[in-house]
Amino acid sequence: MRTGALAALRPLARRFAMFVAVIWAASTLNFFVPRLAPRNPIEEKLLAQQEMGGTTVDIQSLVRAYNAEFGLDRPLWRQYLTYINDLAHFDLGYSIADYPTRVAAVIGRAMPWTIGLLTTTTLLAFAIGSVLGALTVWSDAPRLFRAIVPLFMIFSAVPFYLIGLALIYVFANLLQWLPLGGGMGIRTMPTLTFAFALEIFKHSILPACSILIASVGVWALAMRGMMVTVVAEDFMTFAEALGLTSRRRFTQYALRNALLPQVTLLALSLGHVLSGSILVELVFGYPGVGQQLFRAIQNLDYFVIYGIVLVLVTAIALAMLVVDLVYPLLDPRLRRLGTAR
Amino acid sequence: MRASRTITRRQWIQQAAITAAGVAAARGADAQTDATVARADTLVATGQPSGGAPTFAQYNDFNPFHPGLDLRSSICFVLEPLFFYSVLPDRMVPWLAESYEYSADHSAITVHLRQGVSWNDGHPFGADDVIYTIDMLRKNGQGKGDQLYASAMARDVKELVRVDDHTVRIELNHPDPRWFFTYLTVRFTEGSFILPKHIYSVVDPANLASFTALDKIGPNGPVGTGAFKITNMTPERIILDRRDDWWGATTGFHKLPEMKRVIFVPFTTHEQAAQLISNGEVDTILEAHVPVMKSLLQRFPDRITTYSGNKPPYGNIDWWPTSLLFNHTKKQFQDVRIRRAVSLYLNRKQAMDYAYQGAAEVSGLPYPRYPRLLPYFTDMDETIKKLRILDYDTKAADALMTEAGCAKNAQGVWMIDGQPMGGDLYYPVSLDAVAPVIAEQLRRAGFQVAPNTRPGYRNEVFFGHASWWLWGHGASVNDPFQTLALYHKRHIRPEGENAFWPSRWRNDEYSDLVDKIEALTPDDPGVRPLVDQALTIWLTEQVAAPISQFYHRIPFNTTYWKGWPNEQDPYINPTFWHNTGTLMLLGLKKA
Repeated sequence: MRTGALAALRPLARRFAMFVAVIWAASTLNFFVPRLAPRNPIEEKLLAQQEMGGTTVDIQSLVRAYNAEFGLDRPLWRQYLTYINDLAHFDLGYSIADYPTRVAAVIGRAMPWTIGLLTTTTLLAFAIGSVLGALTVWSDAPRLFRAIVPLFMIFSAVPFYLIGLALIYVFANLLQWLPLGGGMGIRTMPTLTFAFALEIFKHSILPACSILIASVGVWALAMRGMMVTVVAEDFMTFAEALGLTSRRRFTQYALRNALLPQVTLLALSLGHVLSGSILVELVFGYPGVGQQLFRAIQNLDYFVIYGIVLVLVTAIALAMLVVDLVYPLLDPRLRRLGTAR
Repeated sequence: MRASRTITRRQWIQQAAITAAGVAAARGADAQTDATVARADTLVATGQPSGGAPTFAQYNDFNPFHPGLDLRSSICFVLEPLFFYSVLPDRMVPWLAESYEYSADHSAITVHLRQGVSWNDGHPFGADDVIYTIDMLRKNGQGKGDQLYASAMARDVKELVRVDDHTVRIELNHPDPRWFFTYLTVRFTEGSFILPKHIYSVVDPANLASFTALDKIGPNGPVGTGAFKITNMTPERIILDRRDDWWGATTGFHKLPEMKRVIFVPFTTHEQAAQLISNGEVDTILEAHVPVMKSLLQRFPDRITTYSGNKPPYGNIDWWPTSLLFNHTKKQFQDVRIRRAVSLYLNRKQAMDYAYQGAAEVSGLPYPRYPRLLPYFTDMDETIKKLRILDYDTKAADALMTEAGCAKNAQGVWMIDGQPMGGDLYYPVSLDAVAPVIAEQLRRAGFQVAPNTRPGYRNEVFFGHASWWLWGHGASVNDPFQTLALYHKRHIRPEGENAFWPSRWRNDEYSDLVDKIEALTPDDPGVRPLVDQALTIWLTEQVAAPISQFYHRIPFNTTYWKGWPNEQDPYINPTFWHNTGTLMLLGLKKA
């Protein structure tokens, strides 16, 4: 009995070990890649001050002091050990650019905006794209769908930010229906009111639309490919022979089977949500994780880069772990395969 | 029997949405922030540049001595200095101090503080605060040295004497007639604000992190003496509210500012900023390029104006006159004939026309055209003409290059000692309009050159790897000494070391003259002839190629606010994000 339980836990332990290994490998890569740039963020920040003018600042001694403050004066291998040790203790350290703000605070402040915007748009794009993609190969579907989907596919080839710029020009600049950017109005005070929620919603419409327009086609294209295979399967012919309604065959048989690979893609996409959509957030001045990452890279803010990438890697690895564990529940064939082994 | 607790999907979604909105609102909400201030009582401005990101850097740092900290838009409106200096009218503005005087040998300064000043937590301001601020920096400079001005305070300050509650004597280790202006007078982005001793003194000056963390936003914001308090501060927005109990108003020193609230948002892009000011969402922005400014003035003449009205240069002169600077340790620029030739290859008028549509003045000296520096433009006028500092003459330049031993290769590139001449032309983003034009002029003259403002370019310049670069001289504003001192031989460092001023030019006679000027008070009649001598050497040696004055072109929207600084009433430089921004806020009137 006990041996059986251990055997059942073994795949779980293996997957968890893989999860930890992925995070360690990604964190290590994450540490060394920004260090390849022959730049010192402290020096650059202080040289910017030196450049601005004035004759009163001893930059050299400041560089020395701050290099020591951030541990950048130590050998790289020692910095790496400190970094891994800090990560093990969930300590992301201080931001160099926003000192003395802690990296966790930088990410924590930006994350709700990104999660709110990108989780919604990812789920919407997944749902709309998958259904539209499936309908394009469903013979009983209205012809309208076959006309719409290619249009979305064309848009999927256009980068988010270009669609964003076009939307800004039309809806914010010309028509002035929606705000130019930002998460909320310049003078708006956060309050627990419907008006405030509406304000947040209004500011998210254009960035959300630019992501949706550009990504629905991708989901639709993938779904269409799967549906083409599924509708040709014997079980679909059998369902039709049984006299099942078109709607039931579509939802219960075709869509359900074609959706499985999409779920994997969805899990990966949701993992990516945490990295934000850098260009969309920049174009719309949206205060999310993406623009924080952009600024961190610009300023070579090592610790913020480390923090954001770590969160991103963990989220993706976690999503994959969850998919790995949940997949057998979605697909009974995998369960049987597992048992047979 | 238990009541059923099942909820429908719709109810769940509704509850989740309400909870999410509540959490989001609670994150940003500040119980101290009054949400009801009218637009007409609010000044809105796009503050510091953010490199395109919609966030302020170091938004929660209240320590004005943190190096690299951008005080703009925040703590510089909460803390106050002993004196401000307003450069356009050339006026020292006594603030927390009423006056100061030097000892006869300029080795001690007695500062007389204003009576009746208090911090916004009710604590009286006095001599202890001034002594604490300077002493904290001195102690920091003797140890860790991670605060601005700390190493200078450690080097210069011998003793701080509390004469009485409102009088302080600062004794220096050596005579320095410029010390008070340099360190205790706030102008542009320079000079010290005074800190509240009763808040900060509990922390060891060497303990940087807790020093900063100490002064979080409380009920009255970070403690300061200023007319504003910070009531809400996030990376995306800073809100300052007027303190109706500000000492200035209660003592009759100055009227309260007319705006009840000031909101700063980061300057992201020129396009977005122009849109915001044209539709009245903001009242002023960091800057506008000339074409954008002209468009704003033409399209909205009823509500957009500038320091120079609707006329060029659409702004005011900044302390950053632009020059092409040479690295004198590089072989290719060690011969004065080559430097002179480079200067002659520059068509400055064409550069001004292309980059600024003619709305900029060429300049033969590395000084801003501020009142106290104008005499030197007069003095040097003949020399500038005689040495052809501003002339454009490619034939004469070609002759000088040939005379210096340079020759063009088959591709038309100047060669010296078998090496192509030129190199990347580095420049800061503030010169992005003019740098490509200058680079193209030099390329056509036969140099291998590409404009370069990539991240890390400052390292190339300061560490001596760059051959040439476009730069501003942020130094002299009312005294010719500071700019001259940039070229003193004491700043020379070998390649690979950070040089405070990276020209790396050595001239003993010039450095001796600078030493003599430094020993005199700025208003000593002996200064002018010495400066003229030094400038003559600087021009004759063509140490750099002066190009133009530098301008801040800031549009103002007059829908809600009037009284913006202008040529008729230049009460303060309208760079509201500088540390003198308080004076501008106090000068604005409701429209």
